[in-house]
Amino acid sequence: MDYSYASGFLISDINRTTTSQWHNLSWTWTNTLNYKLETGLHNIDVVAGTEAIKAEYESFYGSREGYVIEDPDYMFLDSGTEKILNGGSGAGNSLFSLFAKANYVYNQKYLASITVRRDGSSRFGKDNLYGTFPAFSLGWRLSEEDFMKESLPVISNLKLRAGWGITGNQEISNDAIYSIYRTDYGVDPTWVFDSGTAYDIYGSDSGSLSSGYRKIREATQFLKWEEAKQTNLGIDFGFLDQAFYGSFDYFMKETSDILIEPPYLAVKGEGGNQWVNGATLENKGWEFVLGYNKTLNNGYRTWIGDPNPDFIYGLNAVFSYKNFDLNLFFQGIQGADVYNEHKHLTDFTSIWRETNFGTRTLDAWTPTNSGSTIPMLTLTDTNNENRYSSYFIENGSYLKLRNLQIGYNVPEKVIKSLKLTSARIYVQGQNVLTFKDSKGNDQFTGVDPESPGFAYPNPTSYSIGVNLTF
Amino acid sequence: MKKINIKKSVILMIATGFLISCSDSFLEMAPKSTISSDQLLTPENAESMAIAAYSELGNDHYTAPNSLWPYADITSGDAYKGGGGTGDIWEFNFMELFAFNTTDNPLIDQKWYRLYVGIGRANEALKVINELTADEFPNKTERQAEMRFLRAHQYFILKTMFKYIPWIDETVSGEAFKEISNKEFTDQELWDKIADEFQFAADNLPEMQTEKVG
Repeated sequence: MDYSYASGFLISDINRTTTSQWHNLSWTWTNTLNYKLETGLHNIDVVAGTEAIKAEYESFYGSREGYVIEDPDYMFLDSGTEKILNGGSGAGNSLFSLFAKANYVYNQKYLASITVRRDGSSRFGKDNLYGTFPAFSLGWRLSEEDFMKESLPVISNLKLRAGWGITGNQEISNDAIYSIYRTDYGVDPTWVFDSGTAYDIYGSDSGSLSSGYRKIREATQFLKWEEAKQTNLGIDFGFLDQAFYGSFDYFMKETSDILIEPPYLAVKGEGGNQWVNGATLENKGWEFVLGYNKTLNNGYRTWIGDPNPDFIYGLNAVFSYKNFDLNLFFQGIQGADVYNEHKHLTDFTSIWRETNFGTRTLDAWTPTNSGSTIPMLTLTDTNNENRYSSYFIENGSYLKLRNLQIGYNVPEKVIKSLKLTSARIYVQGQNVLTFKDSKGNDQFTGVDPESPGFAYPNPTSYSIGVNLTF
Repeated sequence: MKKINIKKSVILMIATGFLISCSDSFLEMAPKSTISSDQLLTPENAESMAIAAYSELGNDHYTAPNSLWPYADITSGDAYKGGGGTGDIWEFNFMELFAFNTTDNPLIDQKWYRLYVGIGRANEALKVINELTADEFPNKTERQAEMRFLRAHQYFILKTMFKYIPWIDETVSGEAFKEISNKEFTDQELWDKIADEFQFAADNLPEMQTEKVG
């Protein structure tokens, strides 16, 4: 509901009620057949099945203005006297898949697995409805070999793994392959372009406007599934009865026929958009996981991330003492460059005159403050200071305490009388602390490096909870 | 398996039947709330497409206004840019100062695009109108004249702003857009083409429009 208001020189005498409804219904029909066979040292497990999914979305709204009484009890649509509007839309898509998987284990040491999927999507044209996605993997539990058990008992787990597979992606508009036209009764052209198709062709100056159609998209019959091929090699290991454990993985991933709707030649006018399988992406990386388990319920894991443009890391620590537990999760990134748009407002007095300026401008360069890197104050912008420049590129590295949770398990004697099997009270905080680069040439001058263009930081939230099990 | 249970086998076969029963028609989902180019080929829709072309005359935004004030009134000294400061639509600020007038000024590109949207609407209407016979669509020649007039109007503005422009008409589609150069015609040839469009309209439209459409 919108009410009329008067605040200083801002006045609006419009009141309005908008009532809307939307729903998204989807059903999934899955059938699987499972067959298991165990003879001697062989162990075979086979699954075959189909899956059909259909999703439909529908929405509509009605609105009116001109209510005599501005009260929620009065402002139902029937009482509105002006500007009767309504709208509605719909969308849908369907998927059908056939799949089969076979697992084979020999003597608990040699593992092999193969999967095949055939998926069809309503989003692709008749010629390319289906994609076939196979995958297989092999494993060898070295630690189970007799020679390992006898000579190196300190190794509690050693497994070699290799895998290869293709997965598909169909995340595009439901009507991506069609050439479509739409009628457009016009939008409020204050902030966005008016793309309306209506016109007073009769020159009658009243009544309803006739409307035409405008082109939204260009058709394509060649669209098909996006495919990601991945090869994975890895080792899992553990020492001293899994007191120390970890794994090392190397992967190579090539995503091809990536579905995109790229920009197009302006001379095509409206509706030159077209979905294409346009891009290829190659990813290579390694992942190293290390862990330590202490019997007093005290363990932590560290992830060392992939040193591509960003370096991502995290630390998860769990401590427990008597009935209390403490859980800390730190996450951070290192070495990311971010563009701090907010700096236009905090560092310059020449771009947005007649507005408030940030406090950083008080420290601007002057002959007596020559150490400052903030430009000298001026009201004339002779250098197009608004342009993209390295002045606005800052170090977006951060370390955040993402999750802090302190919990207390209520002792058994207390909960037994309440017929509970367990009860836990906890206090939790999210985004509790943020550390950023605040020294040096590329120090981050904004509020939160995770959202560099904003004046507000990502919010911290605290919650209290109770878990009860009956 | 030692014995084959008949009952189980029958159930198994029926279940398998269900498994593979979904045909390709299950994967056909028609687009919602949209109309396709084939469905447009009717006389009523031809009128609608013409209305959409007229409608574009009134579609603009302060970043690429149809009044053309940034491109002529500001640059000729007839008006100031105004607004909340030099940073408020800085693209027009630099046009006013004749400074930093680089070729990648985003709002010049915006106006270029919007003018071709107007030309595109006229071309889309012509595509539909051209397909209909005079029997199906009695006003065919007049509508063609109207659309060519609207298109020439957009070209006229384009020509005064950019001088050398690609000539796109209703016969261009698909990959052909990429092949058309803005230097295909000379300055004078482009003016002649625009004049021809206006001439066709003058020859085929009545002095006074007394008819009420539809």
